[in-house]
Amino acid sequence: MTTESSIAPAALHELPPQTSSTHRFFRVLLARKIVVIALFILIATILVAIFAPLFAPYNPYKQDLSNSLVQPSSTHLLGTDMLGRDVLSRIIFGTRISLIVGFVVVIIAGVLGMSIGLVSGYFGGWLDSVLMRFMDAVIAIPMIVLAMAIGAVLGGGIVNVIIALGVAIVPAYARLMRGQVLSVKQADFVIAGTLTGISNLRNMLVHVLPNCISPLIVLITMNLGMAILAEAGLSFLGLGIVPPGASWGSMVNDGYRYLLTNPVLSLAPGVAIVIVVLAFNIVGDAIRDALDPRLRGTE
Amino acid sequence: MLTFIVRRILQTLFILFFVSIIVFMIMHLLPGDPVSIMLGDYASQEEIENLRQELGLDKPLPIQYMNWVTNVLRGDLGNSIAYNQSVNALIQQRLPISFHIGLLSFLLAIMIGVPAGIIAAVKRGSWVDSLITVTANMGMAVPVFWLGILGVYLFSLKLGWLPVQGYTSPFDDFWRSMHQSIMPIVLLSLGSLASLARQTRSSMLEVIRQDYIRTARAKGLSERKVVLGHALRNALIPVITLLGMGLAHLVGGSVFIEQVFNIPGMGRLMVQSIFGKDYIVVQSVVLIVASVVAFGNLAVDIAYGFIDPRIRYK
Repeated sequence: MTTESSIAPAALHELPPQTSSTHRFFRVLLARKIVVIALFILIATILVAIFAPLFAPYNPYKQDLSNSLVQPSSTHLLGTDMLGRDVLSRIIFGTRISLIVGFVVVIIAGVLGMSIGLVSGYFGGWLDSVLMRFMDAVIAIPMIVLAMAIGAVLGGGIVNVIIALGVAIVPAYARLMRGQVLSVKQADFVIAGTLTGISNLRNMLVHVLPNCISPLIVLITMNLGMAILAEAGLSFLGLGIVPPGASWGSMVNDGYRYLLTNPVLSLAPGVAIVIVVLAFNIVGDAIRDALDPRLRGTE
Repeated sequence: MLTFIVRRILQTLFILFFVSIIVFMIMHLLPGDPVSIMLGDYASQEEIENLRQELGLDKPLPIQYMNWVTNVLRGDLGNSIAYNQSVNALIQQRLPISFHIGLLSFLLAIMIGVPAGIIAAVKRGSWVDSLITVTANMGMAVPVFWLGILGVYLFSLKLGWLPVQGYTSPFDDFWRSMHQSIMPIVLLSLGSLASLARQTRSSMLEVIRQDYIRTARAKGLSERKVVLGHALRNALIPVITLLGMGLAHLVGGSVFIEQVFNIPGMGRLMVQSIFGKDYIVVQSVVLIVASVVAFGNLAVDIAYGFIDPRIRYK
């Protein structure tokens, strides 16, 4: 976005013909095999979450105490837990909780944080100072500790987990947005906007916001994996998704007691967490590289 | 330099003031009445009112806040209901334990993560680079609690090398303490180690592209001198700033490690107090943890000011 404008007009015709930026983005993004695999895993995970009842061999909530703690076999591929529930089915349904929490947390934190950052950066002054010191204070409290404290007062359950995690990652968005706004604010088109007499709100939304989007997309992809990890963590501690909900984190915790006899109970849901989070992180990195203007033309 | 330090100290105090407001708001403004939760479902109205008065919760919020902050500044965090002792005493028992595990993890992460990042950057594109990058990516995606359980399964249950859980102070029995804490320390460090290695790598790659590195090479310096003398010093600057954030991350991870290995530190105290509805302890723990992180950041920034003169004049 900035490189194009810095090229002197006279030099333009000497450059090779420019490919469209969308085309270039996808070419860089899909250049590495690992990124394609990660994208494939993410799409598969989303499909599994949507069509969970079709993929799951059993009802994930149905207890069968006469068949509890069954070892993995052809009838129960990953065995059953202490209440006789099929572990594979619970992992499959667990994708729903992980993805819903991940996406909603990021959306809430993104909207809230971006609004704060936009206002803070655009208006500056004492409002900026107060808002940013507030964000510094939120950052000083480790994310999981803050989410635990909020969760402790609100109680468990998916909605409260989303609120707790959403609030805890707001500062990252606010800071990024503020930084972007400050760098864009002095641009001619924003000043021109002010001079034409349009309202502050309109100027912010129409001229400032669209120029801050690409680093935010990177942050969002990066935070998806983090939010999924944090939800699993809260549920592991017993402060997240309440039973009988199938969260990967609480499954790891439930299985811990049977680690010696049924290690699959604890280890299998953890593998699911690692795969999904790793896939999100790899795609996030790749999007960052593909959007990085300094890397343009290096491929 | 002095003005820089003074300004940063004031800033830290200011942040802690805001932290206290946030903690207070979480505990007092969110729906959910701490007193009735503390006393359970069967408490009478009278009991609830008594406890409310005892804790000063019948007063207006600003006055409650003032009372709380004045007491905290005097060094009195209040009393734990569940443990029936002062929160100060509880924290005095628990904080050193978390420091023991956390500090050693932090040092381990720096000692291995930074060199790993340098090697990966210098040998960019080689199999060493791939190995380090892939391991670092894995390290950032693995939940620390699951890593703990995996460690217990492999090293305690299967191989029988290390104890399943427990904690002994190194001053009571050094070898027993080492034996018990080596796995928690190593596992806790992995997440920070991975992110440090990645940051160092990308920061090094950034610096290696700079003109002064080309100049250093052109004037015939050995590769070793170029990397360690010129590139590293500049590459470490952004890494140092991120150490502060790494500290917060590590403190968060210690909650899980303490839970898995049954280590009676601050994280476990927080979890137990949440389940015990011991809100006075919960708010104290959050405040202490945030102070540790904020002062850790302060120390990092001051060290940073010594290393990089540019930062002092910002």
